[in-house]
Amino acid sequence: MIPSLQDPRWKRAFSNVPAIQKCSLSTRMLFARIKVRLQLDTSDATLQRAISEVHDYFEKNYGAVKNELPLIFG
Amino acid sequence: MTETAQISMMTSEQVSSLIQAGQRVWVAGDEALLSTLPKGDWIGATTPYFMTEEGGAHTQQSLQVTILPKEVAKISARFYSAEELCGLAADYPANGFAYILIPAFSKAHSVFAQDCSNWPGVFDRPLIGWIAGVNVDQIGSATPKVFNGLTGESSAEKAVVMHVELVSELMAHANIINLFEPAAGDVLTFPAVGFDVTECFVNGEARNFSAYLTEHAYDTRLPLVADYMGAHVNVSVRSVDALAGKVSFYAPVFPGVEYKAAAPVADYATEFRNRLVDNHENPVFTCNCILNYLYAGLEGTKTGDWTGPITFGEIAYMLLNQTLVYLTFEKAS
Repeated sequence: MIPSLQDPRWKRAFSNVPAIQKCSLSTRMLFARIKVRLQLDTSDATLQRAISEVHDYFEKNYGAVKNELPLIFG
Repeated sequence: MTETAQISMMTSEQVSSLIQAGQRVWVAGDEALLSTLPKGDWIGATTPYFMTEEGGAHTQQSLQVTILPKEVAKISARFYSAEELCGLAADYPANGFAYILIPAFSKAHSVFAQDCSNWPGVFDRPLIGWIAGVNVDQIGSATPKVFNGLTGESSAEKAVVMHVELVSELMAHANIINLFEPAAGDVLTFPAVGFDVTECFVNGEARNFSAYLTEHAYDTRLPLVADYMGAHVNVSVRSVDALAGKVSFYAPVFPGVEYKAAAPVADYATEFRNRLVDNHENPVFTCNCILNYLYAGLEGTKTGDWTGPITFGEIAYMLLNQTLVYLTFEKAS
């Protein structure tokens, strides 16, 4: 189950490195690029865009990444 | 999970026969040979370097072919200009992957390298491919090209992409093998995205990067390595101009990303062979880097059973250096 856009677990997800390291190459690269973006721009708008982007990625890739969701979000 | 596509060196006549028989193929080789192929379900790009069944080979007399397996349901292919590449993901198949070929030194090459990870949806399907090259002795005089066999056209400026739809029972996966690990030592960061660098930060302190490399007698055969959540992404050094104080790379560095010098690999060919022995996957396609080929002396050396073009850059979602990229098909869960 993909957390909703308002779910507080998203904020933690971006720094959950041990979990993301167990994920597919695409998930690792996406999270790595977003982590850098969030470091360079700490605004709430950037965080919301990042959440929306990753939410969209999980939705479009659900079949491939559904096993990664419990790792990242618990 | 699927029968491995046959990959082997062939004459242009043999490849033409495959295409005329309706096979869907990816082709790598010399421009003169690629130009003789008939229209059909193929795309290709230039390189004279290959990992073959017999080992590393340098030839402009034959082509390397990947025959797409029967689990491929549908294909389409088109060119993308540098300006159009950002819309690449909009054309991704519902279940499948995209295979991208980009001419080295083109605007499409630099735009892809610097911007692709910010394009909407680019990670939504496996994106693999490579940068077309030429004989290293002919860099500057020969031009890398990509071919769209569906239209019979070639380009030195645009990327060509084949979007490949798989049967619903299978899913495609892109992965990498990178022998380089970050060494202990300085953390290097860069103030801006780019292939060319003057300034860097060494553990947060501003330095001229060329002077830093010279001071440390840096072995430029070793890439810088960034840790992308456990995926090691290399950036290889192209040249160090101590007089101009400038360092050029084969892929861009990015601000905010921490890089470290790679630890030396004692014997690349042996290490690589060991990694392939440990890897029980059955790739549909692989490609490896010209720098690994040259620095490790892979010509005539067999590193395992995986074959594929030797390239001027490898693509697994992003532009990579000194890395093997491979594609597998697995049963959809």
